[in-house]
Amino acid sequence: MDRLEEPAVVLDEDDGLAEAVRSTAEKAAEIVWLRRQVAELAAERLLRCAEAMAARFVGGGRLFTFGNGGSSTDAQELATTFLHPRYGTPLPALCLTSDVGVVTALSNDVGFEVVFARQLAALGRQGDIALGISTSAGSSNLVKAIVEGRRRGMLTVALAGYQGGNLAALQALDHLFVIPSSSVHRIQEAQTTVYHVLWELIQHALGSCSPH
Amino acid sequence: MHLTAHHAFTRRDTAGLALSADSPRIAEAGRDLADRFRRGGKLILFGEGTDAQHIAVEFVHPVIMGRRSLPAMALGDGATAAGSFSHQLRHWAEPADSVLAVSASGRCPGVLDGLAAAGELGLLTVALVGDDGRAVRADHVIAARSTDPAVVKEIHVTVYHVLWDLVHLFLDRRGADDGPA
Repeated sequence: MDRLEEPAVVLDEDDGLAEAVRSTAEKAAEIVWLRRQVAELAAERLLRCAEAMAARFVGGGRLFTFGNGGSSTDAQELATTFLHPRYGTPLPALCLTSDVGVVTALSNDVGFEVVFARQLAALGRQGDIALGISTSAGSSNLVKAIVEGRRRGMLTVALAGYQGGNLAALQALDHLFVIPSSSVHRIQEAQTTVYHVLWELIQHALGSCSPH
Repeated sequence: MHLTAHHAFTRRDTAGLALSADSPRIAEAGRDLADRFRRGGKLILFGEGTDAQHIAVEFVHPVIMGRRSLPAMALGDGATAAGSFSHQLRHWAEPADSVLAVSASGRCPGVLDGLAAAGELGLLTVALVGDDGRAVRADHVIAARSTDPAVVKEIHVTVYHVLWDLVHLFLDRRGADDGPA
């Protein structure tokens, strides 16, 4: 009986790869489709947001970006994209998670929900831009930061997933882009495209020519 | 102006559609990474930009409930000059480890040097690059079909999300056959 079962086990060893190939191709197709859907939903509003942000930069405004976990790495990348662009005009941008000293001081002494809001209260001023990135859209430190940003006269922008979560109902938010997917990973991938496109549109609005 | 926003999105389509063709390559990389984890190895991440940190978050703190945390660490900054990543690797790497390096250009001195050091140390090497970076030397080279670093990054995010998922898929699968990993 043992010998008879052997071929089945040998066949099964390769099966993982076939399933992995199929799963990969499915996800690759899914994100292409999602990007197209986001283009349909958000192209016009992204343009309006880009024009509003460009106007703030022209008026001397600065950009503050923030997010948690994987989104914090996107926020860092976004700030770098503005400050050290590969073409066009460098623009002042700072990611609020880049100073671990300030982030851990606030978290330890007050609470993690105040990190971005307290930083905006200290650094932000009228005419600046606050841009938060979240996949869940439920992060309380993001919500508090957007409220604080609005209180200071900043333009407020957020990228979110699912149905926009706590951010969807927020009066203090000027521009909200919700990625319509239930996968955290596909949401993050589409958000990466959204903030890259937003940057391209801002450069375009400022008169920079894209090499593409 | 309205066309510009649409154009910016459609510019992504070619590279996005081409990713499906790389599925076998990505699946093999996922399988080999899972083998290294099963042998007790950790995943060491480095590259240009912030992707290394992002990938560490994926492995250490999975977004999907029930998936276990796997050992992964992002190396500190060192993309622009040769020597930094390779130095960190020599002091941190163990024989069963693997490295995943991310470089849109594939020509970043620190990344190339890190990959070379990882190869010498006998680590499994996976490189995510753009169209210009195909010549990079690694066990698995996955190249996004674009030369625009922004588009390349977007493709990379999908690739490393998929790799994370595949590692768990392979670990779960063989874990059942082989007993405890």
